[in-house]
Amino acid sequence: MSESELGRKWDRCMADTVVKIGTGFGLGLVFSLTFFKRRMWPLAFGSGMGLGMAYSNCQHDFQAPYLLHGKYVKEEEQ
Amino acid sequence: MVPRVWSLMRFLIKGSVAGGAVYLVYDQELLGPSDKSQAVLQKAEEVVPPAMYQFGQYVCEQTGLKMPQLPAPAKFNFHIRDTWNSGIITVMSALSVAPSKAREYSREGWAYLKERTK
Repeated sequence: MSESELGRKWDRCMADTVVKIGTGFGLGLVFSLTFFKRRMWPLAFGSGMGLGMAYSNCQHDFQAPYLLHGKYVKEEEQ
Repeated sequence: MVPRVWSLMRFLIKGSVAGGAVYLVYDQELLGPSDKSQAVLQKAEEVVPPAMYQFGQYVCEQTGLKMPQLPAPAKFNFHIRDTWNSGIITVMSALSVAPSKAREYSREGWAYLKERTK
């Protein structure tokens, strides 16, 4: 992986993290205000979910070039 | 009868607000792949500052107040790669000139003290 590609991946990862944590926090805020009587746990839950999803995306993005994909090939009967 | 209808209305309003938020997230694919999130962030950077400026102008027109000259809105879609590299270069160049700068400042300080105690 070249350095410019690595830099692009990091940029994408940071942007994704910001968006997902913000979205999770926003959804948690909406649910906290509407259904859960202004408790704090939906905000923490939503932010945590967003962080976890962003981490998973980043991990997949960085590992993708090094993962080998194989398939089973039947032996031809002689 | 009326309290029940009112509680049902309240539940429907809350449900529609929450459902609208969930639909908005689904429609914009905010919790989807990372390239979509990056595109959303770029679009937000293009759209939000002019919208805020126009809203400020509208409020000033309606209320008759004069809007103060605000500083430029902060960029929130900076590139980590560029800022990291420039940050590393700045830190390393500061460390490399630190001994000579320290010597120069201490000389100036010593000369200042000598002049003051004359």
